[in-house]
Amino acid sequence: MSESLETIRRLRAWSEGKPTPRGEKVNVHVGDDDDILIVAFLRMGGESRPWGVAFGKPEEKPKILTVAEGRNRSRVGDMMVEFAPVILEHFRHPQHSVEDLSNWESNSHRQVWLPGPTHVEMLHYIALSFARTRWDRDGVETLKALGNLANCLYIEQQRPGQQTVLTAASALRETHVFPASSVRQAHLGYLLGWLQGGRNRETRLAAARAAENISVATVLDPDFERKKIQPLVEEWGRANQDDDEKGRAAAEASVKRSLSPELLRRWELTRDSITHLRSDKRSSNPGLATLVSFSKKEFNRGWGEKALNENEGGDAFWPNPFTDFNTRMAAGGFHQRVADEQKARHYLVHGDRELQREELADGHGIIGTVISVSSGDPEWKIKFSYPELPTTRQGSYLVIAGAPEVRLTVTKIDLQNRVLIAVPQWRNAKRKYGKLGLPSQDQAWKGRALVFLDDQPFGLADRLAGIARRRSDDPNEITNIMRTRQRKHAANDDEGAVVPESEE
Amino acid sequence: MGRPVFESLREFIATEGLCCVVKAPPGSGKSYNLLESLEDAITEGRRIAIAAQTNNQVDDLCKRFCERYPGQLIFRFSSKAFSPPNDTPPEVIVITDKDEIPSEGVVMIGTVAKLGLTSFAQSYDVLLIDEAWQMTWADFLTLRDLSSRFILIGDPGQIPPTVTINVDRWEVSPDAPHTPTPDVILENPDLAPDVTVLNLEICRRLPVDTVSLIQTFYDFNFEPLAKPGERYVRATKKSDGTAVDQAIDRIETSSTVILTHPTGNDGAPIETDREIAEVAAKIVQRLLQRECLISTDANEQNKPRKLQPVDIGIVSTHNQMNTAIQNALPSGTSDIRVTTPERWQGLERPIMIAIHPLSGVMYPSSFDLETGRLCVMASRHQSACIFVTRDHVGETLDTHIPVADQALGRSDVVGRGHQQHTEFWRYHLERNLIIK
Repeated sequence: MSESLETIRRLRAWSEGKPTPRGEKVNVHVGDDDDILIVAFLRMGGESRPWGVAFGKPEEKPKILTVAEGRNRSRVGDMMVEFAPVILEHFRHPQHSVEDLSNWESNSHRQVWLPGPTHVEMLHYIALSFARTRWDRDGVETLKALGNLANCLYIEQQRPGQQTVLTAASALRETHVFPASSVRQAHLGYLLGWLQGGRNRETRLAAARAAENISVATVLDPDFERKKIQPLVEEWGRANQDDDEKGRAAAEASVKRSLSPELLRRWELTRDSITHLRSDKRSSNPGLATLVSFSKKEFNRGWGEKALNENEGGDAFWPNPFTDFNTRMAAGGFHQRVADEQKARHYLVHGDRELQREELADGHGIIGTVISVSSGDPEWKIKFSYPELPTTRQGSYLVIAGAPEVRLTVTKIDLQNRVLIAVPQWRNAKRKYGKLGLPSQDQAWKGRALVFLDDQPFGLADRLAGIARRRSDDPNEITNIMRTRQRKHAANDDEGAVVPESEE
Repeated sequence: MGRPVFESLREFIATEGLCCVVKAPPGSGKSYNLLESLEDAITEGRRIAIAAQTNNQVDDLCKRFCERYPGQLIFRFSSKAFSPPNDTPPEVIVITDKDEIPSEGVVMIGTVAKLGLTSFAQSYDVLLIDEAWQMTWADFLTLRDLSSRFILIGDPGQIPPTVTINVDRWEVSPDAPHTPTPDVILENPDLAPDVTVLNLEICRRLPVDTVSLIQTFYDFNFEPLAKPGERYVRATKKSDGTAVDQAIDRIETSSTVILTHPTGNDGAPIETDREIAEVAAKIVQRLLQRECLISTDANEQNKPRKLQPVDIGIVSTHNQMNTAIQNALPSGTSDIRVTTPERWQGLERPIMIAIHPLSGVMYPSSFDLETGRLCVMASRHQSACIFVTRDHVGETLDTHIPVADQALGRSDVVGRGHQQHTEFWRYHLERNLIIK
C-alpha cells in the first residue's frame, strides 16, 4: 500500500469526521447467513488452549462454551468435542453433515468469521493440539477432525485472495479508510466505534476510544482476569482437589457467568461488522466472484477432498500443522502462493479504480495517452503523465485497466521525455471489452488517455508450482535423496500437546 | 594458494558427483571459474546447461564465453519477447524453440525462470547455476528435469532471493522453499555425502581496505589480490570545499567514504528522496568536473587514466529512487548505470555511488536490516565507493533495538544484520570517513 496515498486518505477521512469508503467497490465477500459461522475464542493469559468459545450463525443467538480451568486438558477437550460438530457440519464434513461435500462446485461457499488475528491463531493451536493426537478418550476422532479442519482453515487464511476465513477487523479496514494510525486500527471495537459511534467526529472518536479500552483479542483484560476470575478458578481447583462435585459445578457456573459476556461481546462485534458490510451501498468488485470460486476450489482441494478420502477409508494426507516437510510439496506450495497473490491482484484491480490508484502510486503502471499507432508492424507510442517514476522496464508487460487480456510488451522507455514504446500482443477486436478491445491497429486508439497496469503473470507461477511438485522415479534424484524429517515436538507425540500441569 | 577451483570443477564434471557448491566472495572470479571449468566438457562433447538469474547475467556470460572459447557456439534459450543486446557476438545463437537445440555437444544457457518453465526431452550432463545464492530452493526444484547433476556458484554474503509473499507456513521447514538453494543443500544431512564444497579465496575486484571492511558479511576468510595504494581515485582539479568535494578527496586514500546529508526536523521523505538523488548527481558532476584519475589495478597504479562516465555506477535499493537519480544526472552521462543492488550483482565499476539502504529509514524493519544489499553496494567498486545517506543513520542504529521475531530454530538474521550495519557505520566513524 502506498504510504503517502494512505496518509492522504486518512486525512480526508479525518476532515469528513468519519470513516470513508475505500474505493468504489467492496472487495470482501460476505456470504448469506447460512454460509457464515461466527466464532470467537478466549484463552487464559499466558496459555494457548481455548478457555471458552462462542459460535453461531449471524441471525442466531450464539452458543457459548467455557471451562472453569483453561489449563485442564481434559476439560478443554470436552469443550472442543462439543464445539467440533458445529464447525464440521458448517463445512459439510461427511460425518457431521447431511449435505454432500463432493458437490463443492454447486454448494454455496462457506465462511468462518473471526473477530481478529489472535482468534485466527487459535485455529492453529487447535490444529497443533488435536490434528495428530493419539489421545485415548471419547470423541477423539471428532477432535482429530476438528484439528485437521482448523489446520486447513489456518493454512487457507494465509493464501492471498482467499474468501473462506475472514477477520472482521481486516474486512472493515479493507472496505473503509479510518482516520487513525495503523496500530489502533487493529482493534475491532475501535473500528466499529468510528463507524457507528454517532453523527460527528467527536462522538465517533469518543466511541472508538471507549471501545478500545475493552479487550477484543483472545485474552481478557489482565486486571479483570486476575481480580475477578482467578479467584473463581482457584475455587474450582480446591473443589476439584477435594473431589467436591457440587463445589466444582458452582465454580464452573461462576466462571461461565464471568466469561460469557466477554465471549458474547467479541462475537457480537463480529456480527455487527458483517451487518455493517451488508448494508454497504457499494457494489461488489466484479472480480470478487472469481476469487470466491477459487476459494471454493482451493478449500475443497486443501480440505474437502481429504475429508472425503478419509471418510472412505483412504489416506487423507492431511497437511502437517507445522509446515510442509516434503520438500517438493513445500516448493510447490510456495509457487502456488505466488500465483495466488498475483491472481488476487489481477482479478480485483481491473474492477476497482482505487486499487488501480494504489498500483500507479507504487509505480506499477502508467496513465498515458496513445500518441501514435503504427499501421505496419503493430507498435504504440504512449506519452505518460503519471506516475513520475514508473517501475516499468523494457521487456515487461502492461495491460489496459479494465481489459486484462489486452496486453502490450514494453520495448522502450524514455524517462526523460516520458514516452514509452509498446507492442500490442493482440490484433483483432476483443469485443467483450467494448472500446477497450478495439483491434490493435485501429487509429481510434490514437489520442485516448488510458490506464496501463503491470500484468500479473500468474499462469507462469501456476505452472512452476506443478513442476516443483513433480515426483521423479529416479532414486538418485536430489529430492528423493532428501528424507522427510519431522521435528520432534509435543504435537507429534502420542500424548498430544505438552500439559505439565494437567490432571493426566 | 592451492589448486585452482576450476580444475576441481573440471574433475567434478568428469565424475558422477551429485552437486558441487562454490562459495565465492565478490569479485573473486565466479564467472571466470565457471567458464574455465567447461574446457574439458566442451572438448569431450558433453551437454552443458548454464542457468543465470537475470537476462543481463546471461548476456554477460554469453559474451565472456565467446571470448574464452572463440568459434564455439552457445545457444541462448529465451522468450520471444527477448531482444539480444547489439553487441551480442555471432556465436551466440538466440533460440526460442527448445527443439532447435542440438542434441549433442551443446552449451545451452538461459535464465532460471525460462529454463524452469521448459520441459526438455533430453537431460544435460551437468547444470551450472551462476549467482546461486539468489535462487530460492523452490525455483531450483523447477530445474530438476534439466539435469541430475549440479554446480552452484555464488556469493553467500549477498542478497537473499526476493520473496513477496507471506512465507510463515514454511518458516520452520527444514528445506524452506524461500531460502537460497545452496543453504538448503549445505544444511541437509542426507545430501552431505554427495555434495562437494569449494571456496574461492582471492578477491580480485576490491581494494585492500574494502576487503577487510566487507569481511564482516562472510563466514569464511578471503584475501585481496590488490596491494595497498594500488587502487585510487585522484582529483586533478581543486576542491571547492563543499562536502561533496571533501568526499571525493577522501577516496584518494580510503576506498570507501560516507557522505551525509541533513535529515531535517521533519525527518526524511517517506518515499522517494529527491534531495539525496540530487546529491548523488552532484557527486557525478564533480567527479567529472574535477577530471579525476583512476587506478583500478596494478598496471594503472603509475599510469592512471581519466575517469569517464561509463566508469561510474550508481546503486540504490528502490526503483523509483533510481529513476529519480537518473533524471537528476547531468547531460552526457547516459553511460552511467543506475539500478538496484539486485541488478548490480555480478557487475562492477571503478567508482560506485551508493545510497545507503538505511537512508531515510527511521524505524528499520527486518527487510531494511538485511545486510545483503549493503554488502552488494559495498563490493561493486574497483577503486572507490561513496555512500550517500541522511545523517540520522548512526543514531538510528544506536537507538534501534531489533526484534528477534524469527521462527524457533532459525538464526537471528535481523540481529546479525543490525550488528553488521553498526560495524559498517563504526568502521567509517572511527576512521573519520563520515563527511558532513
